[in-house]
Amino acid sequence: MALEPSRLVDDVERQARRPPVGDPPRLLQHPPGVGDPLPSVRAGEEVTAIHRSWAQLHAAVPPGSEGGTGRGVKAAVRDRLAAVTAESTRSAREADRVIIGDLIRAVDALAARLDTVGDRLLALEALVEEVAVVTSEDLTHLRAALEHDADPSAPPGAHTTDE
Amino acid sequence: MSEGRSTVGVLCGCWGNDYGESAFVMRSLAAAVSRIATVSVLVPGARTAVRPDGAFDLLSVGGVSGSDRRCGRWPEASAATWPDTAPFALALTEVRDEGAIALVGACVPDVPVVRVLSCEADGSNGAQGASLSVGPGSAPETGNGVGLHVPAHRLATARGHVGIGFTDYLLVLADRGPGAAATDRPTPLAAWLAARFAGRHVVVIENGLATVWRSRSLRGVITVDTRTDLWRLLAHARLTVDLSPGPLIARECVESLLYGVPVVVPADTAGARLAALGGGLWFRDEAELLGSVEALDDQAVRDTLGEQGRAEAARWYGDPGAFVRRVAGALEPFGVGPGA
Repeated sequence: MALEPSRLVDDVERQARRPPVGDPPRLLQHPPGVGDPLPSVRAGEEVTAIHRSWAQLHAAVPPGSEGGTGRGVKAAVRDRLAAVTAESTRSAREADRVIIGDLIRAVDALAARLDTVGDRLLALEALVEEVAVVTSEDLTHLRAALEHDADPSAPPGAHTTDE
Repeated sequence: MSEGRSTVGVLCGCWGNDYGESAFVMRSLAAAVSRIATVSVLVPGARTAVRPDGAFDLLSVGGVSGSDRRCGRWPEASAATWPDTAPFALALTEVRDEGAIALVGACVPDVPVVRVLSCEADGSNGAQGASLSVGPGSAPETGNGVGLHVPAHRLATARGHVGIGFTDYLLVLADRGPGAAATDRPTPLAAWLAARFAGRHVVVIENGLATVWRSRSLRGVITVDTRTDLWRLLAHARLTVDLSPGPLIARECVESLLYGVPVVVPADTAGARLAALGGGLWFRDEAELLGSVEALDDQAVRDTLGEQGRAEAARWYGDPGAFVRRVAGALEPFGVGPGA
């Protein structure tokens, strides 16, 4: 069946000039709202525990530091053995420390970023709610005024149908 | 039956109906009349043994009995069994209860029928004869404006409904009929209010449930199990919008005003007559509804209307003694009452 575009355009024009009378305002299925603030990840137990452990590790007394005089031959031999072993594994341990330090800094950075995102999410939730409220109130006011002008004698509910 | 007391027949097709206003009004009137005369309550239903109901014995005259949701149906005069009571000095029935009026006319034509109506204007709607006006704005000087006694417990102001942790909400009594299916969508006019006043809490009550709306969306549902629950919700609202006030006295509007909470109601209703006495505003379409609620944003306006409304509601509906005296005065011309 052939369609005449000019008739469609005429219909569109007529519809466009009509006030949006008809249905009552539609309500939202997903309520906007501001949730409780998210607790800080950076200040959380998991991250602070890593820092605590790292600090304890550094505070630990290195082997051989308690050496002194008059401890006997066995102790002297043990200290020397430890010194030789430590010397041979020093480079490996230093590499481990560097990686662990990097990991801790990375965790710190992620936690800080998460906290920032949480703050921004809170602000966005507040913004969405405010926008929903303000636009809802303004648009509903306008729609009611338009419907009132369209047919001021109509009884309440005459324009409306339950969705 | 007390010696020397006249007998008044109270006919009510909706005596057991919990949803309409008719049963409440007729029960209150029967109670008031019982202070000055013997009352026989006649109801539709199969003639059985006398059924006690509180202070009254119900006398069935035939027809179909009603229920808590449905009014009964009066029998044709030929099928009716008129009760064996003392002759009635008068028969009291609601103006819309045409079956009862016809039954009295056919079975006891000499008994005058006094029609219970909301206001004098109702009487012009084809009804003739004597009447009692229970609605707001009835003129007591005409002799037939009696008001009513509408109880509203004052302690409801002390504590809000347990399911709602805030006050100062916009309370909407919805206009969906009783027994309508539960739905998470409010009626159209309630939806207009929830959308227009999205920044506030809007509490919509219908069919024993109160839905809480904010930011144009549903925030929660609580039950309204008892009249006390309703009183608490009314007492803590900033204003009450009754989209379908009762036809005789707009009972919920009266209760709202007794708590000093102004009302917004559809024009040309009993509620609008009550509002016109000083306690609220009325509307004809959605825009006027929203405008009326907006006008009551002003605390000073709200307080003034609330106080005026409280005074009028108390005058017409808050004093049981005055109500009984007004009923006695109105029925005195029929030979009923202490002075008759």
